[in-house]
Amino acid sequence: MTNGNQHEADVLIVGGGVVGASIAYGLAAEGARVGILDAEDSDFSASRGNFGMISISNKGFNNLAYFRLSYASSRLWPEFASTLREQTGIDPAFDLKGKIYLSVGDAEFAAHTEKVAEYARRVGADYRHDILNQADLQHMLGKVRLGERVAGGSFSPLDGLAEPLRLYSGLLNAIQRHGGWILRDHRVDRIEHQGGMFTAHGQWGSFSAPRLVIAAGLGTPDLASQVGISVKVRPQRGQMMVTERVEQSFPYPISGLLRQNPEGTIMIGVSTEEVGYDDRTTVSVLKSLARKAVERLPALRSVQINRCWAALRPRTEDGYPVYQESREYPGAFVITCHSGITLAALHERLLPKWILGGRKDALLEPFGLGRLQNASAA
Amino acid sequence: MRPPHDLHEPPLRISFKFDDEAIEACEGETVATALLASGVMITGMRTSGRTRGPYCLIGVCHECLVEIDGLANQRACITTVRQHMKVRRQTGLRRLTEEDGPREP
Repeated sequence: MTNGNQHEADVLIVGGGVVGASIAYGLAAEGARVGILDAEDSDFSASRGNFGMISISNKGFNNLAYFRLSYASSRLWPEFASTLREQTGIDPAFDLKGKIYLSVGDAEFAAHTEKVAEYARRVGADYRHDILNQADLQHMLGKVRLGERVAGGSFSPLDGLAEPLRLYSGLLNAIQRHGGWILRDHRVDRIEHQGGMFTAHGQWGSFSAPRLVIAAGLGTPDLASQVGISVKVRPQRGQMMVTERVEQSFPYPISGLLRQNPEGTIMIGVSTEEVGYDDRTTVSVLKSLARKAVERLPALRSVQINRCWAALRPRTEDGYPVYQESREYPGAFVITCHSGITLAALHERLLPKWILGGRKDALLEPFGLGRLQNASAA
Repeated sequence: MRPPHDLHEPPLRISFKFDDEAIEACEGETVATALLASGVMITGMRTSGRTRGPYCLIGVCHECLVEIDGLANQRACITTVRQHMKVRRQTGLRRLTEEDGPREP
C-alpha cells in the first residue's frame, strides 16, 4: 500500500479525462477529498482531441430527456466557465454565441427545414432555431462569401463553443487548487470492495476510498464489470484538422464542420467512422472534409492545413450518457458519455451531490442502464 | 530546397530584401538562417504585440512567419532564399481572400 496521507480520498475517480475531471472539480468544490487515477497520456483520449463544440440544437431529436439534459448544461455553462476562470486564471473561452447550419442543395435544405420544424414541435418553447435563406446567411457571415451550392441554412442561438484543451487544463488546475490529487500513468487494473471501501490497484500501488467513480471512456466496460455493472462502450472515430492563422473570417461556428479560434486558426471536422480502435487519420476522409468546407466557404481553398488528427468518441449502445450506481456495490458509480464538453457544466454541478449520497437529480434519472435491454445494472 | 552537394563551391551569393534592409545570403540556405546570420532576431509580431523570431528551424513552431513576395504566413525556416525576394516582417494575421490560389508549401 502506497496510500499515504497525501493520497487519501473520500472519492476516487478512475479516468482523468474531461468527464472525470468535471466530476472531480465539482466534488472538490463541495469540500470532498478527491483523487483521480488516470492511465497513460498515449491512451485513446477524446478529451485531448475533440472539436470543443457545445451542441444543444441537434441533441435528442428522438429523446427529449437528452435534449433537456444538454440544454440544462448550456444554462449552467456561463457560471461554470467564469468560476473556473476566476479560480485558475485559465479561460476556457466559452461563448454561447450560437451556431450556423448550412445545407448544400435544395433537397438537403428542405429536409433540414422540416427537421427544425419537427424539433420545435417536440421540444416546445425552449427550442430556438431559425431557418435562413442565402441572403440571411450571407448577412450573418459577413464578408466571407457563401458557396454557390449552399441552398439555405439556419441559426440556433442555443449552441456555443469552448476551447477544449484550455477547459481541460483549467479543470485539472482547479481540482488541485481545491486539494484534489491526480495520479498519471496509473492504469487501474483491478478494483476490490471490502468493508465499505473500494480499492483500486494499479501500477503505482493501491488506493482506497468509500466511493468510487468510473469515468474511463473506452476503458469503462472492463472496470465497470468489477463493480457489477455491465455496460458497452465502443469507439467511434472523428478526424479533424487545423489551418494556419488567418484574420477572423466567419463569426459563428458552422455545424459539425468549421470553427475559427480567437487566435485565427480554423478547425475543420469532424468525421463519424466505425473503424474500431484505430485513431489514425486517412487522406480520403480528410480530403472529403476539406471539400465540404470549401464548398461552403470557397475562400478556404487558399488556407494551408497545418495539422490533422483523429480521436475516438466513446459511444454507448444508444448514444446517450450513462449515469449508474452499482446495486451490488453501492458507492460505485459508472459515468460515460461522448459529449463531455457540452455536459461538463452539468456534470460539475449535478453529479457530486448524487455521488456523495444525495438524491439523483431528475434530469439524470432517464439515463440509468435500465433503459438498455441487454444491460444488467446488477 | 536543393541538397547541399548540388550547390556551387564556393556558394553563390544571393541578396534579398527584408523590409527595407538588404540581406546577403548563400545559395541553398533558408530565409531564417540568412536573417539570423545577419543579426535579425525579430521577424514578426503577434496580434497581442509580442515579438517573435525563428525558434525551431524545422517548420514546426510557426514562430518565424513572414510575408514573402506578398504572401503572408510563410515559414522563413523552410523557405530557401531566392535572388531579389521581398521578405517583410509579419505583424498581423493573414487576410483571407479568394484571389490567393492554393499555395505550394
